[in-house]
Formats: sequence, C-alpha cells, structure tokens
Amino acid sequence: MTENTRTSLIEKVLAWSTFLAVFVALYLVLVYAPTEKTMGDVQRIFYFHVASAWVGMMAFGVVFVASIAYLLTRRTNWDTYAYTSAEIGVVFTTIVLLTGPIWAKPIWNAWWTWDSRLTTTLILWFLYLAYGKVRSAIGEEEKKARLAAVFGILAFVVVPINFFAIRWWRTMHPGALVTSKGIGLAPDMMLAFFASLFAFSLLYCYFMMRSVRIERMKAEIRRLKEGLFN
Amino acid sequence: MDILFYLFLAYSIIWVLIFGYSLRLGKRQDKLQKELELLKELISSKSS
Repeated sequence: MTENTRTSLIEKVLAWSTFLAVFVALYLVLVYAPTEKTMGDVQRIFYFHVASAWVGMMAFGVVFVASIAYLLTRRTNWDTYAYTSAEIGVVFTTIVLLTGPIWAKPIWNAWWTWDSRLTTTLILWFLYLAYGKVRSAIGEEEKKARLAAVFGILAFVVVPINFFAIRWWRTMHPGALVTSKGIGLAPDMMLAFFASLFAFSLLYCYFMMRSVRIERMKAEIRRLKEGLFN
Repeated sequence: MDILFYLFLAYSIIWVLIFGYSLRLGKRQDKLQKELELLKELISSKSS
C-alpha cells in the first residue's frame, strides 16, 4: 500500500466516523436530552456552542505547540500544522461568536454585551484572522513561517485569559460547567454534551487531515514548478 | 419571536459554516489536484 492510498483510506474512515458521530450527537442533543426548565429549547444551542468553543481553543493550542516546534526544529511540517489549525480554529470560533448572540437574545434580551468572555472571544477571533493575513502578506516562505510562529505563540496568551474570564471576573456569561463540585448538568444532558464534544473533536481531526493534505499538494506544486522553470 | 426560531437559526448557521468550509476544502483540493497532474504531464513530456 502506497502512502497516498493509506492516507486516502484513513481520510475515508475518519470522514465516516465523523459523520456517524455528528449524526448521533444531533440525535442526543435534539431528541434525547431533556428540555431545560428555565430556558426551554433554546438551551440546546449550548451543546454545539460549547463544543465549537472547545475545538477553537484546542485548535489555537495546536497552533501554539506547532509554532514552538517549528522555531525549535525549522521543519516545515510544523508550520503546516500551525497554519491549518489556525484556519480551522477561526471557523469554529466564528460559530461560537454567531451562536452565542442567538442564544443571548431570548435569554438576556440583548444580542451582545461587552462582557469579559464575549470580548476576549472576539479578540481571539481577530488575532487568528490577523495571523492568516500576516502569512498571506509575506512572500518568502521561511520568513513567513518564522514570523507566523512568533505570532502564533504570542496570540495564544489570550486563550487562557478567555478560558478563565468567567472565573476571574463578574460576568453575564453562564459559569463554568466543571467545578470542584462536579459537572453542572443532568446525566442525560451530560451524555449529549460529551457526544457533541466528541463529534466536533473528530470534525477538527478530519478538517486537519484534509487541510494538511492540501498544504502538501501546494508544496509539491511549488517544488515541481521550481524544477521546471529553473 | 418563537424560541424555536432561535434554535433553528443557530443550527442553520452551524451547519452552513461547517458544510461551507468542507466544500471550500474540496474545491481547493480538486483545483490543486488538476494543477499537479498538469505539471506532472508537462514534466514527463519535457523529459521524453
């Protein structure tokens, strides 16, 4: 089996597993989980909203680790992981920023408030959007990877601030789900919650795999062009 | 507005973004695949 065939096979298995996991999660979230007493059905937004936030933070964590690894080793693979993860992180953070206000409108009677959690999420989104722009503004590959790695490390500072914002400051955003007293969810809701978390984590892996493949194709095209025209 | 409208709106946005991104990756991959095949053909015709 060649490497390409093996990669395609893994990609197909991952795609079907993700599809199945998303399907099960949707059933658990929309049908199985009971309706929350005070918020009603709008609370069901929470499951994929939190799962998207989790994937966003995980993606930015990968950018951070891959950026450090790139600066230490100068291997282009790490730069590829950082770049692709940042892009996926922005997609999931966009979901967070759009579904949050849709939940907030009927609950808070306001689409948006400059709350610490909301504001730091918006800052994160802008930072990683800027990360992509910085990359596209630099032509030279080595310089682009180096500067992006430094940016990826510095931008990560906001991730723990965003995570702890609801613990550090008084906020309108719902409090931490996991505390020293346990998880603040009914068992049926907890199952739906972990299913959505698992499904979106798989989705992240699937997107990562496809994006990395695309970046490798780009690199091969660049290499072939150099060989052809030099 | 009905509470279910907000639920519908949120889930529509989630899946539009996810399918949109997946579609974008697919288009990018197809375009690069074509370019790669063309380049390989060009190289093999140049060397023969």
